[in-house]
Amino acid sequence: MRPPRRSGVGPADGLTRLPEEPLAPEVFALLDHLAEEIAAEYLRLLTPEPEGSAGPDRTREMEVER
Amino acid sequence: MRVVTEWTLAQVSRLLREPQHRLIYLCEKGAVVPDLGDARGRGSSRLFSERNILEFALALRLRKLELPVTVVAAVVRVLRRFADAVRESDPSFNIVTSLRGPDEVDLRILVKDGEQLFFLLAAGSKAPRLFGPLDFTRFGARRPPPVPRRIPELTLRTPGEGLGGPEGSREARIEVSVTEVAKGLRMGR
Repeated sequence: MRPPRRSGVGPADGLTRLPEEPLAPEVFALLDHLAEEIAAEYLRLLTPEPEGSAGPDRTREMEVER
Repeated sequence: MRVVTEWTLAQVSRLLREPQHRLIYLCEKGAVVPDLGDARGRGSSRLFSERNILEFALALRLRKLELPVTVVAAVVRVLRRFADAVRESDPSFNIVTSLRGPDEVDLRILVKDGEQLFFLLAAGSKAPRLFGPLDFTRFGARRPPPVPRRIPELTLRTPGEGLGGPEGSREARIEVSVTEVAKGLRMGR
C-alpha cells in the first residue's frame, strides 16, 4: 500500500525543499529596512562630491595622522 | 515608438515570451503586485506598469535558477521599497529608466551557498557596497526569523577563500544583475 501523499515534505532524495509559502509578515520589516539602506547608498553614490572634498575616510586618516 | 504606460497580462506574456500561467503564478504568490489594477473576480483584469515588467523579468530569471518563489518575492519587495525610498528624495526617479540609463549604477543579487541573500550596489569608479545577509531558509510564514534591531552591514570583503565573491560564498554562488535584466527589456509593442 502506498503511503499517503504529503505536500511540503520535500523531494524523495531527502534534500530540504525551501519554502514556497508566502513571506512571513516579520520578514517585511527586515526587507524594507534593507531596501532603505540600499536607497540611501544609491543616493549617496549618485550625489557628486563637492570639489576639494577628501571624503569621510580621508578625513579620518588625516585625524589619525595628526 | 509609442510610449506605453499600461500593460495587460497578455501583453506582458508576449513581451517576455512567457506563458501567462507563469506570470499569474508570480502574482498569486505575491511576488509581483500589479501596479495599475489587480484581478478581483470575474470581469476584472490585472494591469501592469513598466516597473512590473522589470519585476517579472527578474522574477522569471530567478525562478529559472530554481530559487523558491519566497525568495523571489523577497527580492522584488526589496526592489519596490528601494524605488519608493529613492523617490521620496527624488520624485522623478524611475527604477527602470534609471537602471537602463547612463548612470552606470550596477545592482546585483547574490546568493551565498544556497542560503543567504545579498544585494550589491556599485556606481562608476566608486567602491561597491554589499548589503545583507538575509537567511532565506527562514523567510516562510512557518519559520520567520527574529527581526534584529539593525541589519548587519558588510563592507566589500577582499576575495579570499572559497569562490572569491565579496559575499564570501564557499561552495556555491548565484549572481544576477538587475541592471542587465533591465537593460535587456524590449519595451516596445
